[in-house]
Amino acid sequence: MAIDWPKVSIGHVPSYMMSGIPYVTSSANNEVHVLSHGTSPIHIAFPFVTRWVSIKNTETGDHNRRLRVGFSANGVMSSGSNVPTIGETDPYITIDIGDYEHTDPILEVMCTDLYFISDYWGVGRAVDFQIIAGLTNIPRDQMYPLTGSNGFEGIG
Amino acid sequence: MSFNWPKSGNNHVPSYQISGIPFVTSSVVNEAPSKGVDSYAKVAFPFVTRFFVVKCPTTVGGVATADNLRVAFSANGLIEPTGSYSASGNNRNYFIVMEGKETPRFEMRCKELFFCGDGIQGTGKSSFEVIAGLTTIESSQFFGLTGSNGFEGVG
Repeated sequence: MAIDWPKVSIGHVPSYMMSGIPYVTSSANNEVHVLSHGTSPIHIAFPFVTRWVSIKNTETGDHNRRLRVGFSANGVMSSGSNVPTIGETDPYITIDIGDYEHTDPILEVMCTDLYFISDYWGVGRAVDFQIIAGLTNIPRDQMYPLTGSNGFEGIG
Repeated sequence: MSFNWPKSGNNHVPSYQISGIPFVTSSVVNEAPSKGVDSYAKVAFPFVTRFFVVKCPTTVGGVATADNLRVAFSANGLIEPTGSYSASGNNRNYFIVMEGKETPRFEMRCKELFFCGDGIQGTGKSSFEVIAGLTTIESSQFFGLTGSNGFEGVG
């Protein structure tokens, strides 16, 4: 009996044509610190490759408390080996506190990991976040390492 | 004559490629109860969703909604987290829709949504409106979308 069935891989187009399987998670309050706090970025590892993600900065009050989001630890810390050379050189996005709203439109990107730090420089200026993602049924081990050192620009 | 025709399963791709069958529903004012164990309002879709949008209206019939809205994919998903982020669960597996706001169009497949208020236990009730595009996949063909069934990120 065959037990080692082939798995769908990241190039399996029909997996992206279906709607995503729900995945919702978040940080604890003020869990995402700035780099100067001496902590590592918060790392979210999805069990399957994403079809799309939508992120919300759930911090309230101080509008300087922006959330920094990247696809690699180096990227979110802007310390990667292969950052973009055109325009903005930092391979991360920042999300304002807004009105508790998710990124709209949803971000249709395939990834298995997201990294978060606070973009507000200084101790005690932590932020928090919430993610909602639509997952494919492609296992995360089928995704290539999405890093600058693996040849991907715009990741870090 | 055969009666037991095969049904399309939840991975039937063409079902997600055609436009959704409209499904619209809403609560009465403050029908989503305040947070607490087994305290929720539930919308069960007759077919698997292709997408949905949730709104938390400021008023329903001229009566004000009391608080923001919590939305989850299981009853357990509405429960408060008990610690810092953990890959094995233990997080906020719900999202919040602020009063007067609505979500983007979430292209997500599910057969149930669970709602409660995000405010103070006992008084923080909320209201909701849902518009969904449904596939032709019967909800009985969908898996149990719960943490105990192996799904992370739903509670």
